[in-house]
Amino acid sequence: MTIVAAREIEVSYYGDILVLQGVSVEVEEGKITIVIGPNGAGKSTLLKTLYGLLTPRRGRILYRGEDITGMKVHHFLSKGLAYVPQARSIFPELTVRENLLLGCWIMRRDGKAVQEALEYVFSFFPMLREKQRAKAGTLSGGQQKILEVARGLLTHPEVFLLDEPTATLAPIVAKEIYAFLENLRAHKTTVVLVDQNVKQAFEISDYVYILELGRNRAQGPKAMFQGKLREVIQDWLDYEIPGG
Amino acid sequence: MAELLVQAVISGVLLGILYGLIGMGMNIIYGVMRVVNFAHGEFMMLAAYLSFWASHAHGINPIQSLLLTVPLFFGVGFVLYYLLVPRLLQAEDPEMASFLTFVGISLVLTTLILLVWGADPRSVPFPFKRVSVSWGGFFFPLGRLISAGFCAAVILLLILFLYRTYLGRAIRAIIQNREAVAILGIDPHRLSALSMGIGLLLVGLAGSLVVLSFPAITPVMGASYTLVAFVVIVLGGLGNPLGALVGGLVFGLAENLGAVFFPAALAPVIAFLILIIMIFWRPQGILGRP
Ligand SMILES: Nc1ncnc2c1ncn2[C@@H]1O[C@H](COP(=O)(O)OP(=O)(O)OP(=O)(O)O)[C@@H](O)[C@H]1O
Ligand SMILES: [Mg+2]
Repeated sequence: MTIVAAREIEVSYYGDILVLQGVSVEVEEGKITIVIGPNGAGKSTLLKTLYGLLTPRRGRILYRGEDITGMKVHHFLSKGLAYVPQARSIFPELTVRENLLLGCWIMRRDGKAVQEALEYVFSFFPMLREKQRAKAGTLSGGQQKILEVARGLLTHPEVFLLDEPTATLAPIVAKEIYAFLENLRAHKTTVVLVDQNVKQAFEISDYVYILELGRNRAQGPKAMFQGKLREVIQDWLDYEIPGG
Repeated sequence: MAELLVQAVISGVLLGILYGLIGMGMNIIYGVMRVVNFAHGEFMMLAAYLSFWASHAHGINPIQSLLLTVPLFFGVGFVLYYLLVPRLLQAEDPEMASFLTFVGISLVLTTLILLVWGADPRSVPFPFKRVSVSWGGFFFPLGRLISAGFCAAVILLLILFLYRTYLGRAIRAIIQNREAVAILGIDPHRLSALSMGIGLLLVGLAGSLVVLSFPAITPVMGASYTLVAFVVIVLGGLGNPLGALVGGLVFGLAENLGAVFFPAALAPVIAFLILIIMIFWRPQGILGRP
C-alpha cells in the first residue's frame, strides 16, 4: 500500500525556475525507498516538499490517501512523519539531552512517554546517553548526525525521511546507520532515503527512484537495477562533466 | 575614596540588574526574530507612564501596577508579532523593513505619550516611607534596592523558565536554529509571538520599576533606554539572554564607577567607551559565540 505520494509536483524556490518539473513518487508502506541522482537533481527539494517545507505550485502530496498539500511543517510529526534534513538541524548550545527533549515536544505533557522515548533511543545509541550533558555543538559531525537521527525517532514515526544521513560519517558509522535503517524496516517503519552513497543505499533499498534535472529519470523495484547501477552512475558523470 | 567606590559598586549593581532585565527582553526579541527592537526604550517609558497614571489617578504604587503592565505588555507583544512579522517577512528587504517599522513604532509611542501626558516631566511619588536604608556604614537607596530585588527575582524565574521548561528550551532553540524547530512539531510563529510577548513583558516590568530608581520621567527618555539596552546586549552577546544580564551589570558598574572619577555628565561616555573596546576586543560579546 502507498503511504506517501507526490503526484506531478512542480516546485520552485523563487521566480519561474522550476526545480521540480512534475515529479511523482509513490512510497510503499514498510519499505525502504531510496531517491538518488546527481547533485542538484532536486532530491532534497523533493524531501522538503514531502515534509511541507516547500509548497508545490502544482501537484499534490498525499499521506495515506489524504491530501496534505500545504499542510504546515509543524503538523507533520504528530501525523506520524519525521524528517532529518541535509543541513544541520541540531541546537548547538543546547545539551544533547535538551535536543532530545525538544524532539519529544509533541508528547511533552506525558512525562512517562518522554522517559521511555529517551530510553528507546539510548538503547540504540549508547553514545548519546554518555554525552547527554554535553553541548550538542561539541559533538563530532558524525555524532551530531546520530543525534539528529535519534531525535527523529523519539516519537516512533511511521514514515522516516532522511536526507543524506551518512554524508559526513566515517564508513564504519555509516554502516551502523544503514543497519539501523534496516532494523527500522523490520519494525514496519517506512523509510525514504536520499543518498549519495548510492551503493550502500541501494543495498538496503526495496524501491529506487532516480531523479535528474528535476524530473523522474527512472524508477522501479531494486531487482530492476541489480547489476546496472554502475551504468546509471556513469551517466551522471557524463552529464556533470560535459564531454568527459 | 574607598567608601565612594563601594557606594558606586552598590549603585552600579542595583542599576545593572535593572539594565540586565531590559537587555534580556531586547535580546530574546533579537534572538528569536533577528530584529533589534528600536522601540524598546519607548515601550519602557510607556510602562513608566502607566505606572505614573496608576499612582496619580488611582493611588496604585508602581509595584502594584505590575499586575496591569505585565499581562498588558505580554499581550501587546504577542499580537504585535502576528500583525507585523508575516508582513515584514514578505518585504523585499526584511531587515530594512523591520528597522524602519520599529523606529516607526518608537515615534508613535513617544507621540502617544506626548499627547496623553504632555511634554513636562512627570514624577511618580515615592511609595515608601524611607528613602534609603543604611547597613554597615553604607547606604542602600530603598527604591533601587526594591526594584533590583524584584528584577533579580524575575531574572531568576526567567532563567529557570529558559533552562528548565519545554517552552523555555524551545525559545533558546529557535534562537540557535530557526529552521529546525518546526520539524520537531513546534509552531515557529506561535513560539516567536510568545517570545515577543515575553520580551515586552520584561521591558514593561522594567518600565514600571524604573520610577523607583528615577522618579522623574519625560516622553523622550525612551531613546536613551533603547540605547542602553542595545549596548547591554552587544556587551553581553547578541541573542544570548544570560549575556544581557552580564552586560547590564558591566554597564551599570561602568556608569557608576565612571561617575566617581569623572564629572557625572561623562558617565555615559565611559559606558560607551567600554562598548567600543568590547567591539574591538571581543565583538561577539562576553558570553557570545564567535
Ligand atoms: N534554497 C534554495 N534557493 C534557491 N535554489 C535552490 C535552493 N536549494 C536548492 N536550490 C536549487 O534547486 C536545485 C535542486 O537542489 P536540491 O538541493 O534539491 O538538489 P539535490 O539533488 O539535493 O542535490 P545534492 O545532491 O547536492 O544535495 C539546484 O539547482 C539548486 O541550486
Ligand atoms: Mg540534497
